[in-house]
Amino acid sequence: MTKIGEVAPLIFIGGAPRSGLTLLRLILDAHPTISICPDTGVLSLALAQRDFALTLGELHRDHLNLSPERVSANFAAAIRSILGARAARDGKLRPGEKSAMNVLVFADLASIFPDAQFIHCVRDGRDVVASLLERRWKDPRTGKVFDYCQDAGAAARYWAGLAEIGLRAEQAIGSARIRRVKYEDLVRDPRKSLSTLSDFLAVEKTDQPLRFQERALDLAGMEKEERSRLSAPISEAAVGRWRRDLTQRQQSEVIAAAGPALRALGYLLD
Amino acid sequence: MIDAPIFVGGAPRSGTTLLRVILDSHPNIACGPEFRIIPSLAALSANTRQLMGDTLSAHCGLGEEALNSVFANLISSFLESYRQARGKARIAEKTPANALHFSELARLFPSAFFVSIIRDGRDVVSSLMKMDWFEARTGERMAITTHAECAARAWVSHIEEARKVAAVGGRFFEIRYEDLVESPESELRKLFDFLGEPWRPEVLSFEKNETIFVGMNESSAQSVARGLNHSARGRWRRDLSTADKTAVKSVAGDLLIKLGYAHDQNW
Repeated sequence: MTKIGEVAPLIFIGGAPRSGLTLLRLILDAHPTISICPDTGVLSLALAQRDFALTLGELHRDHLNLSPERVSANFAAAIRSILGARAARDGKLRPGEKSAMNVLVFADLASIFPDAQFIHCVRDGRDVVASLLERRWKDPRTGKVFDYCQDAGAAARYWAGLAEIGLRAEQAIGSARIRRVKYEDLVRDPRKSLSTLSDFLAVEKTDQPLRFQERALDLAGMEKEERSRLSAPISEAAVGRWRRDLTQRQQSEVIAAAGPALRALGYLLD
Repeated sequence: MIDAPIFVGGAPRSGTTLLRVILDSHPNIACGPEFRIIPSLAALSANTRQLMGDTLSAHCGLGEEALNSVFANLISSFLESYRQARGKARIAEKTPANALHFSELARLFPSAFFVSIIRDGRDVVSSLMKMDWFEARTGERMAITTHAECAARAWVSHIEEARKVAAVGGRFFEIRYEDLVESPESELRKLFDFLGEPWRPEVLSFEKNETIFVGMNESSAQSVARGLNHSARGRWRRDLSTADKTAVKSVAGDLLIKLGYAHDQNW
């Protein structure tokens, strides 16, 4: 357990969209010790640090008296300032951040924060596809709906790409620092998921997080689309929705595009 | 956070390296080789505020001032580290593209000083077209070294973006390369007066500065070590093709006239 005065290890949640990230954020955020920010953009800072290390690190180390370790610590301070503000506001000890795309920088964050902990949210890719096809998310650059919200094959490729990135991050970071949370487990038995995560995060075991709906949900940005679903009792109803929502043809397209990722995550056994 | 940093910028090939070596030759100012990181951090600051500012404020307890401090502190960490290494009182940083971000930097550092060096755009373009500069990510030649129109656009934007900082209350000083070469003492006295620094004649002996060749990432290092170059002016007359001139006129013709480098479009 983190003691008062110690700098608390950060918690990063990431994974393909539609995999229960927001639900998990709300549950953990209702824990007395934990504050999980919604998408804050800190991943851009992690990317900037990676880019710097690759393109300018040597220059600064050799000629400008600035070691890579110092630079990494400076970026760490920036990220921690952003995430720490909310934790301080709420009187919580452990700051964290949830953003689907955090998986892209899990390994970078693991290196910037040697003691940070990571949660990789996963879900059956076929159900993710079914869920994505309901969305009308638009590319801000073109104003057009993303192809992964319109076409099953595109959605499957999108999901598989992120799932594979997440899997590589798991291997790179190691099981001591990253845990996989399956959407299906989270909605079937939230108490058990919470208990397992509490052990992993070394935080107090309490039922308080499961009562997160007793207060008004503080949803940010795109999370607001899910207000009614997140306000309703946690339900397994969406597990396996692909069987009724995807046509035979779409199911084949998904297997063709995402078979290996589905197998790697244990969703396809053959 | 650094109190009154000096940010130096300008279109590449406008004398930015000459200027930074001169500044570094003042006993009170450290201005080493380009850091090349500040433009991307300034852009990240602006983008974060624009895209996430509302979320951060409404949902994360991070108001605009606090968010600005995050980026100011991050940029300061680079500046302060170098300043300490050099043991000088003040820090200045030159990266040409800083000019494109002066306004954002003024937001992050309200007490900063901004210096832009400008030069005849035709000479800038002709100099750019001779550079062997490659994009780090793709390995391809930079467009500003292969296409006159691109080069001219870069020239215009560095000058115009830099000038915008004055409109938002930033302390701004624009110096002309041609004037610096012709009358160095008179121009530099004005510059150091702007910066609030006493005149020191050793700045005129800048070619002896020991940091000129540090890093070897500044294309003009060798040229600066040879002292002021009086023969570079008007190089465009021999270097720019007719097609190049047409391209430059289309993008930069008006600004050349406004700055007094040309009287019309008949050059």
